[in-house]
Amino acid sequence: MPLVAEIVGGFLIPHDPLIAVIPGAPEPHHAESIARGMERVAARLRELRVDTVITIGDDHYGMFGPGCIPACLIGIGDVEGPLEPFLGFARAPIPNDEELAAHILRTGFDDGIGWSYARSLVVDHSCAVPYYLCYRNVPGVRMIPIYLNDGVAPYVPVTLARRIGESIRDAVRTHAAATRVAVIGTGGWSHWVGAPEMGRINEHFDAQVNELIAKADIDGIAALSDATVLATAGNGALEFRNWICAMAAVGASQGELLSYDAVPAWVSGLGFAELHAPQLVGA
Amino acid sequence: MSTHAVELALWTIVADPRDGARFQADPEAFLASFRLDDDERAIVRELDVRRLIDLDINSMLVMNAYCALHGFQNIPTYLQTLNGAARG
Repeated sequence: MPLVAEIVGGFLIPHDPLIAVIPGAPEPHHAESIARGMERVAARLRELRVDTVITIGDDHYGMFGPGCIPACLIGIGDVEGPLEPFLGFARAPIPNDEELAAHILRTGFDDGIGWSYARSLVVDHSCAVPYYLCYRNVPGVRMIPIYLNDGVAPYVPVTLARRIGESIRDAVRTHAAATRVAVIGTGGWSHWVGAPEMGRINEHFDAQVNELIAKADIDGIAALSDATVLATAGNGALEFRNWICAMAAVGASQGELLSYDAVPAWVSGLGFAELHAPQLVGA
Repeated sequence: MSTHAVELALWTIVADPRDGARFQADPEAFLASFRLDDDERAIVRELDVRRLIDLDINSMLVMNAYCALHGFQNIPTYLQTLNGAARG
């Protein structure tokens, strides 16, 4: 049996910067719930003996400017973060799995994915908050940052987000290394960023998407129209693309909603979910 | 209205604190290097967040520019400005 990497887990977790910036702002039970969610995922990553976390995030018009907005980008070299000083984390190098990242890039090219790539990348809160509040507590873990354009129209097509996830899965399966990989989609749920409605949370929308997550219903999530999501759940909810990518990478057949909180002080619905797939049983 | 040129000006303010400082020190001189008409230049110079949003400038970028100049802790003021103007 040739030595190859394997995906052993998948998760959806928040990346809300306010979790780090104003940790004491919400009602205590909300803050405790989010902290428990981060620790629960970190504990699962330790339990699954994960070596590399592939993080699906998205720029918030802070990393990439009007001169070049990549539809999808992977960091294959030096990674550091966070970009935003206000998060309160000292900017520092983040270990990358450069060999696997390069293999995902090459595999993607073979699959027709129009990857952009970065040899040196400073990640924003969409990758940095999960890293600093969750994975950093997993000994030896490395992070491959992937960015989908969920924030600046025209957004990455949901069909492409799904194909990227499938290509990631194929790449991991053909990577000649005994690497245990988790794929984590970050962000999502209802929230408005910079828009007049900022602070509003649509718990009805979030309940609907939680049902889709529980069924790992990629088709159902992909069927959400951008216009509807923008109108009812905010520009931040367009991050459902990150979920689609992660679900496709994992080959998820079921999702387990670990928690959901509507947190007005952090202006977002915030959830945690574990993705399950037949090949992950007993991982 | 060129949303691209306005977004480029805002992005430049956001991307490098030294450019943000240049803008704050002398907005006219800073904005002279961008292809903005008089109306656009005034909107950016005043960082008129409501008009920027109404003109379909990306709201994340508008907020980022506001935070770059006034600090992330002033997001509540940003929202008050945005929504207060809307009600007015």
